Amino acid sequence: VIWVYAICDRPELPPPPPLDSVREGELLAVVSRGGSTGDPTPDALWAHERVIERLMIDRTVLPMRFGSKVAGDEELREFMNARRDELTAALARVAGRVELGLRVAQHAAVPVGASGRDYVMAKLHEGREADALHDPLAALAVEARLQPARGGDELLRAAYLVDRREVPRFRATVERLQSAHPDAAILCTGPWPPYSFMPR
Amino acid sequence: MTDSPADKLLAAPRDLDPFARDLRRLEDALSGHVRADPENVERGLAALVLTVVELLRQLMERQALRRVEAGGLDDETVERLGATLMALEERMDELKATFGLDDDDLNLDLGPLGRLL
Repeated sequence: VIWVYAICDRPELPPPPPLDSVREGELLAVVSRGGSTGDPTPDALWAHERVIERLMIDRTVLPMRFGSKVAGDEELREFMNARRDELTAALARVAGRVELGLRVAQHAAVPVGASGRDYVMAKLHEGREADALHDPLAALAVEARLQPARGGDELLRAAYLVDRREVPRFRATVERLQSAHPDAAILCTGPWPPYSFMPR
Repeated sequence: MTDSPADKLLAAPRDLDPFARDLRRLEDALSGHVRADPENVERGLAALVLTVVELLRQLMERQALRRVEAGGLDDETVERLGATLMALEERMDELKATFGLDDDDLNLDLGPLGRLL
């Protein structure tokens, strides 16, 4: 079994040991052979993350999710070959960029004993709140992915693909939004490898 | 490079409690090998069915809210729509409680369709 960490550009640049790689044309898959059990323990997940962040220092990276594996070199080459255009385009899209994650929690606005009209108004208000937080951040991003909020108090969940040099501005905007929306709890994490912006 | 999860906090509210349930979910996910005993299979099936129902409920709600926002509905219609949506949401909460499921069990991540919800 071969564990795949990422598909990268700069195929001539070998990954730092003990990592291994499989080259296909202008693409390089960074892999490790054996070793892992594939159990998603917190340590294993952070190790995976560190490998990808190390690779991001000197090349553009399409991060694979933890636990991505193939049976052998041949299968990996075929994958890269079959999806070459898509992978190459994705690499160009994420070059020089990082992913920032956003989560917003806010107590539900529907009052106890609400009428039908109250409910509708509260839901419309929530939608506008989510837009008011998302829109200024999406404007700073090259691309944004809204993810379905998970119910409960979650108002907004999104990922933003941001130019590396825009990260301080993004962060400052999050802090400004937090001051302007004291009822919302805004959590911004990153920079991450562009996990949410991989070709599907 | 990253040494710990705390390095990844770019901006956070003073009170992190609203996000604490994620940690519980992570723990569940990490320890969550699939157990195929009958009770778990039933729960898994309930989660699947309720996920579809919840998806339809949210789509309906979104449609209805759009109509209200577009204007032109009289007060009585808005009241009736709202009452129906509220009842649907409450019923859904009851169903989730019955099967011991919470929102995190209903995985509504639709990938590229995410914006639908």
